[in-house]
Amino acid sequence: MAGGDEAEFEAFAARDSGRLLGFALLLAGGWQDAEDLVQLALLRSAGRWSTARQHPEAYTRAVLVNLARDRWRVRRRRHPETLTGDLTQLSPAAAGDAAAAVLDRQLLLRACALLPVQQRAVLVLRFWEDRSVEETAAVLGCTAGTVKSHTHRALARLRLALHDTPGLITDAERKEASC
Amino acid sequence: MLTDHDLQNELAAAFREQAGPVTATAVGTAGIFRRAVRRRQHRRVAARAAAVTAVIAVAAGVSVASRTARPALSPSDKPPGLLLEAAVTAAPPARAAVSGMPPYYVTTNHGRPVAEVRDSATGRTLSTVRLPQGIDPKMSEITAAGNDRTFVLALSRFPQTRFYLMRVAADGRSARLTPLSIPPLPAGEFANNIAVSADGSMLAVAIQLSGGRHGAVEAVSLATGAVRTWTTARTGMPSALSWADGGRELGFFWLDDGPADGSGLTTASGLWVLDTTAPGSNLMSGRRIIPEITGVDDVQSAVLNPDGRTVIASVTYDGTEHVGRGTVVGGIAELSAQTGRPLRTLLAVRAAYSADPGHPGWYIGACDLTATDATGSHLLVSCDSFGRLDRGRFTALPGAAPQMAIAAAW
Repeated sequence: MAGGDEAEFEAFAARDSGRLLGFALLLAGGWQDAEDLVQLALLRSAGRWSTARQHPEAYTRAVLVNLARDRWRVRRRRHPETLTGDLTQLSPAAAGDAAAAVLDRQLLLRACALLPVQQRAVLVLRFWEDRSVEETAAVLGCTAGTVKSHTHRALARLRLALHDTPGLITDAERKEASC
Repeated sequence: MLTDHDLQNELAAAFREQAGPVTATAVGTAGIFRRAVRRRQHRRVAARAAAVTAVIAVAAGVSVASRTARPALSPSDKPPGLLLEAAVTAAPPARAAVSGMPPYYVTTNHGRPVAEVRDSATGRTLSTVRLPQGIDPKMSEITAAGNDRTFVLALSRFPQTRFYLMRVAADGRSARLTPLSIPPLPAGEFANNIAVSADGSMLAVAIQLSGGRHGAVEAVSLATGAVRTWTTARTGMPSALSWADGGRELGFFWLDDGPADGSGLTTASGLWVLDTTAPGSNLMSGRRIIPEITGVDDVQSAVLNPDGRTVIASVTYDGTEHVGRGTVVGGIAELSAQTGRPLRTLLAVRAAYSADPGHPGWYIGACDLTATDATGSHLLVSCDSFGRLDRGRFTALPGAAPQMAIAAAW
C-alpha cells in the first residue's frame, strides 16, 4: 500500500468525516453509535481504498447505511428512557410555542428512529441533504422507485406516529387508520 | 393537519437541530488506514486457514446437512402475527424445487448502463446489453413478456420514459434491445412498475406523476399502442402490477397518502384488483383483496398469482408482543385472494437478538418481492440476501447487495 494512498485517505477523512458523522447521527439516533458507525465505515473504506477512492464519500455513505441496517433492532424493546425524559422536560404548556415546536421535532425524531434504516436513510438524504430521488437512489444503490416507495411509506408512518400521540387523534380516526 | 410539504419542512428542521452542529472532531481518524491494511492481511491468512479446515472436514466425511436443515416450529416459535401463521412450507428437494424454473433472469446493473442476462441456477452473467445513451439504469423497470425469452423494459432518460423490447437467445448468451412503437410516458410521469399480460398483448404501467401525490395505471396494447388509463382523486402511488385470469384482472399494490386533508390515515392501501373488462376509468372501482395492514402484520407488497386465486405477499410483523429467538417476524406468504387468509409461508424471516448496548433488542427484517415467474412457483426476492425462492426453497444469487431492491424479471 503506497504512502500516497494513506495520505489521500486521510485527506478524505479529515474533509468529509464531519458530514458523515451528521449522516450517521441521524441514522443511528445517538452519538456513540454514530461515532462507532463512522469509524467502522472509514475502516472498511480504507480496506478497499482502491475501489472507494473513485467516490470515497459515496462509498463510505453506502457502507454506513449497510452497517446501520445490520445494527437495526426493533425499537419497541429499547429503553423508553431518554426521549420520554426529554419530552417531559419539554412540556409545551410550560414553555410556550417555541418549546411546542421543539417538542414536535423531538416527536418526529423519535418516530424517525422507529423507522427501518432504509426508510430513515431515504428521509435523511432527501430532506436533510436535499438530494433528488435519483441521487438518493445512487447513494443507496437502489432504484428510484424504491426511494419513492420508502419516502411514501416513511412519511405516512411519521404522520400516523404523530397522530398516535395521546390527545392528537380521536378513537374514530384511530379505528379508521387500522382498517 | 400536516401536509406532505409541512411534514418535510418539519423533518428538515428536526434533522438540522440534531445534526447541524456536528463537527469532524468527534471522530478519530488517525491510524484507520493502517488498521485497515492490517485487517485485510489478517483476513487473507484466516481465509487460507478456513479453506484448509473445510477440506479436512469434507475428507473426514462430516455432513453439515443436518445442521442447516430448516428447524421445526416449536410452540415458542409460533408467529405472533396473522399473515405468517400458516405452516412454513417444507422445502422440496432441490431438483423438484427448480422444476420448470425459467433458465435465466434479466436485471439492470446500477453501476453500469447495461441490462444483464443471468443464469437462474448460478446467477452468473451470460450476456449484457448496453442501454441507450443517457438512460439512468436505476430508473429502469423490467418485466417478462409472455415467454421466458422476451422482456419489456421501461427506461428513463430524464424527463421521458420509453419502452423497449429485449429478446434473449435460447442459450441466454446474446440479447437485443429494440424500441417499442408505443407512446412514451410524457415528461413528469415515471413508471413505478410494469407487467405484461400472459398472452403478451397488453403492457400495464403503474405511473407516478411528478410531485409524487397522484398515481395512475395504464394498459397499453403492444400491437396498436392504444392506451387505457385509470386514475383516482386519492393521493398515493400504485406499484407491484400483476395480471390474472387470462388478462381480465389487473392487480396493483396501492400505497395511500390518505385523505386530501393530509391526516395520513392509510385507509385504502393494499392489493387492489381491477376488472379490465368493466367500463370506466376509476382506479378504485375494483376491490381491495388484501389490506396493507392486517392486525399487526404489514404487507410490504403483494401480487396476484396468474390463476387469480392466490396472492404472493411480502409480510413484516409490526407488533410488539411475543418476539423471541426464532419467532417468524417476516417473510413471503401465499394468501387466499378470496379471504385474505394465509395458506403457506414460503419463506420465513426469523427474529435474531442483538446485545448491541446501544440498541439491544430483536432484529426484524423485511423482504422485497422482486419478481414472479409466469407460474407463480418461482420468485426473485431480496430478504437478508437476494436470491430465488422455488416452492419454498431459497437459493442466494450473486449480483445484488444484501437487502437491496433491484429491478429484475424472469
